Order: sequence, then structure tokens, then C-alpha cells
Amino acid sequence: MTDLYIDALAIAVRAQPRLQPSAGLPVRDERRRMAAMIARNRGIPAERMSVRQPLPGNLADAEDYAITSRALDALGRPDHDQPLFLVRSGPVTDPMTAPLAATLHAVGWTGDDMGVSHLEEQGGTQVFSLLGWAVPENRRATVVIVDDPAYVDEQTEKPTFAAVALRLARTGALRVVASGEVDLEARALPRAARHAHALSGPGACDAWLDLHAALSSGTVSRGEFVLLRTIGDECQGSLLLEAVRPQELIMTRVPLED
Amino acid sequence: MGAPPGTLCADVGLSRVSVQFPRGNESVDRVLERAGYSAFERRVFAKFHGLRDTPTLAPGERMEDLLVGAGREALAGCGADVVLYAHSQVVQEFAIRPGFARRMLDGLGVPGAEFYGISHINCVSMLRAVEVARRYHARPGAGPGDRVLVLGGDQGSYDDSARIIPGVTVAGDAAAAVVVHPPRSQESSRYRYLSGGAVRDDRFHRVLRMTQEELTRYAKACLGYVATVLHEAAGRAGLRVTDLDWIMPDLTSATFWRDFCRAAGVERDRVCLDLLPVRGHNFGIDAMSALWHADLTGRLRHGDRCALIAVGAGAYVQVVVVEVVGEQP
Repeated sequence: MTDLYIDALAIAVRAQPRLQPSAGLPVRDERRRMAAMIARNRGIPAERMSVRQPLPGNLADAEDYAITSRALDALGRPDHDQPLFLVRSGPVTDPMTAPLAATLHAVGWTGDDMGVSHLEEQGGTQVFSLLGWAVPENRRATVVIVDDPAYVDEQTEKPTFAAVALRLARTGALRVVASGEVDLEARALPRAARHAHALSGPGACDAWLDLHAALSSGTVSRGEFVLLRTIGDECQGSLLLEAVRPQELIMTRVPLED
Repeated sequence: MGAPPGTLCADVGLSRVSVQFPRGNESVDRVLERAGYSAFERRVFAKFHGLRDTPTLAPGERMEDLLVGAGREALAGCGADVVLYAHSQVVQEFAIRPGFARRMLDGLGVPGAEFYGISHINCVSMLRAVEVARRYHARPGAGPGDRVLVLGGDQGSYDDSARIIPGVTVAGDAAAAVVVHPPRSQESSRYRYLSGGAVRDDRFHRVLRMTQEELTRYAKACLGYVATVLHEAAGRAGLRVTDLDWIMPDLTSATFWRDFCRAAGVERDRVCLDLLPVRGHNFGIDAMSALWHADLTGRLRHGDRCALIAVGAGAYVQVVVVEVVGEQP
């Protein structure tokens, strides 16, 4: 993996996810049909599916890019053009529009862009295996990891309804040490990594939210390691970070609210 | 990522393209009639856009099988280190069932490969994935035996509302695949990557919710962007547009390419539209399938330069220029 660092971390979290049982929607409603299709493919009763309602009067949320643009706004604009990777899996609220292009339009992004999908909950960690080679060696980049599903099985899923925006650089506060299946006992890793703070959760953003809290409270000190883990039903992913200069990390947390 | 100047990436080779169409087919007219289009509107699709049939999964056929079939054929019994699955639709019924990536890797016979969906850029996703593959081959430590499988395809037929772009096209079910080799690969490539280019105009992000006025502006803007990006991509390869032997187009409609040829001064017989009436538009794989068909029918000769062009809602335009290597066996 090429040297990657994180020098800014911004989180946008829905203050109040507005979930509505899909069974309460009109029979011909597109979202009810979608919820039924998802339930059918997951092998669960359609009644278990809820649909996230957009914030009233918020077109950006109706077209499903409000949380991404909020996180990007909080992260701030880069000094120069850089590529943006949107890590998002699963259906969106309005498939008739292009949420990534809408986000870029809303925040005035002029760099390249690309979506990364089908990583599901592993998007919070596994994407760094891609970024390790997909970000050009002499470039910075921005990545937004989204866990804001439009359709939720409330019995088994507890999404964070959040987006985590990260600015990647070639030097910075947090060093990306390894990703994928990380064995802390591996000889290639520094011995100190064996005592890494472990933060984990079932969604793509859980561990990042915990990392934000840990860094804000000073729990993680300079020179320490943090192991972020995403724990899905079928597999697990890990990302090992070294807090090289944690005090220099620019951190923001903003709500998305009415 | 989008418009690579070439210095940061490897000049890769591409294998033969593999394309899988389903056994089923549906007439565009019938799809439109079901959606409530008038006889006059349907005639426009047939007479002006040149669209007659659209590939449609037959009962019992599965989109995942098309993808695996195309991928395995491109892999030709060898492995891959990375699979980039390029798709246009964000709602994919076949991929909602948990474990899609694992099923694909197992089906392709590459269980240990990395798997990433390349998405949210609509129908330019497959050509963009070729650019992403170049990054893989340009990374420190890249080896001559590394292989990236670029896989593309969507299922339009799961819902008529997902396959009809009003006034423009009807999209079908199909899959395509190509292996991207590093520059010093021992494998013989069928195509040599020469250059690429891309542009985005995110003013058109409302896509199917655009007003008629916005749609008109969008269509006009895309004509200009295709001409500009094609000119730039050819220039990066040291070529003029007139030096290109073939254009492998996005197959949304014949109308677009008639207008393009008129505006850009490109001869119409250089635009490979043979597949348009019988296969129509199939999201991001159109240019690859046009290349596949041109090769299959013996149109390509050693040294021919082909520009693959994709236009995506949002709006995105992506061009990849390749050169044919070796004669058709």
C-alpha cells in the first residue's frame, strides 16, 4: 500500500432519522414496491421494511445527497482539484436522479469523482485497499463513506444514518498502516500495533464515529494505533491507523436536521 | 481518474472483449406500448432512433449468470487480482440478495480477488473502470502477471421505469468483460490502450426529473462534450479525430450519432452502429459491445485506432482510445 494519511475527518449525522413502515405507504408508491423487492430478495416479510423519509421541504434530501454534501461542506473545500470517492452501497431514495453528480454540483466540486459500491458494511475499511492504489501517488483525495440507507429492516439493522468525509494526503495526522484482514501479531507491523485501540461496529461508519469520539476525548494519544473493524454477517474488515500527529487532525461533526 | 494525462498511469493492454446477451429479446415497441407511449412516439423510437429490439432475460435466466459468463470468457481460464464491476443503475434487484460480491468472485473462479463496484457515474462506468484498472497497474510493486477484470452490465428489464429514458432510448439486459493487462505482460493483448479523456457537467444531475427545457440543453451539451473529449483524447495519443479509424459509440440512439457526425464532421460509416437496431442500448457496455461486434465480424485490422465513447446521465462523457494489435485469427 502506498503511504496514505488522513488529515481531516468530518461527520454528518441525521439528528432524527424519519423512518416510516413501508406498509403504511400507498400500495402503488414506488418506495413501497422497492421495499417489497428488497424484502423478497432478503427472504424477510415486507412488513419488516421501513422507508427513510426525506426532511420536509429539503430537495437535496429527497434526491438523496443531503448527508453527503453536508459531510463534504463540513470537511471544507480542498485547495486544489482532487478525486472524490463516494463509498455507498444499496438503493437510493430517488433512482431517477444522479446523487453523486448532485452532491458535486451542490458543493462546487471540480475534481474527478467516482462511486464505489458493493462493499456493503465493509465500505468503512475495505475501500482503503482500493484507495491504496487508486489514488495517484502525487495526489491528495477525498473519500466519503455513507451509511444512510433509504430502506431499513428495523429488526436486524441499526444504521448510523451518517456520512464520514475524510481528506487523504501524503502526510498528515493519521497514517493508514494496513487494511483488509489485519493480523496485529504480524511481523510486518510495529510491535506497538498489538496494543491498538479496537473500535468496531456492524455498519460502514460505526467505527469512524467511535474514532471521532475517541480522538475528541483524547483517548488516543500520539504514537498509538487504532484498529477499526467492520463486522458484517458474512465477513469482517479491518483498517489499522497510527496516530502520528493526532493533535493536527481537523475534526468536525455536524447534524443533518430539519 | 476521469481524464488521465497518461503520465500517471500504465499504458496497458486489453484482452478481447467478451459480451453476453440473454436468450430473450423484446421489441422496443412493445416495451413502450406497455408504458403507455402513443403510436406516434413509438414510431420516433423506431424510425429516428433506430431502436427495434432490446435484450431481455428469458424466464429462468439470471443477470448474475450473464455477468459470470462474460467474465469467465474474458478471463479465459486464468485468474484476476482485482474485479471491477461497473454498473449504471443504483437499484439492482439481482444484487440486493446478500453476498453478491462473494457469489460473483466464486462464480468467476477468482475467490481471492478484490471486488469493487464502480458506480454512481452511470453509463461511463465501464470505460472509467478501465482507467481505474490502469491505476492498479501503475502502483508501486505492480507485476507483469497482474490482471484486472473489468466487468460491466445492468438489468434494465426488472422494471420498465428503469429501462426507458423518455424520448431517448430503451435499455436492456447484457454483460461485457475485458481483462486489462500491465504494459510488460507476457500475455498477448488484442488492444493497446492509447489515451483517454473525460468530462462532467453536473448541472444535469436531475436526470429523469429534468424539465423538457433542461433535457434539450442536456442533449445539446452532450453533443459538444463528446466532440471536445474525443478531440482531446485523440490529441493525447498524438492523433487527430480524422486519424481514428472507428468510433465505438454509446448505443442510445441513431439520432444522437447523426447529429454528432453532422456537427463534428465525422463520416457516419466510421461509427459502428450495427448493433443498435438489434441490441440497442445496454447501459455502460455499449462501446465495448460495439468493439466486440466489429472484431467478431472482421472489420478490425492491425493498427486500427478505435475510440470508445460513453455518455452517462448526470452528465458524464468518457472516451478511451485503443489500437488493434495483431490480425483477427
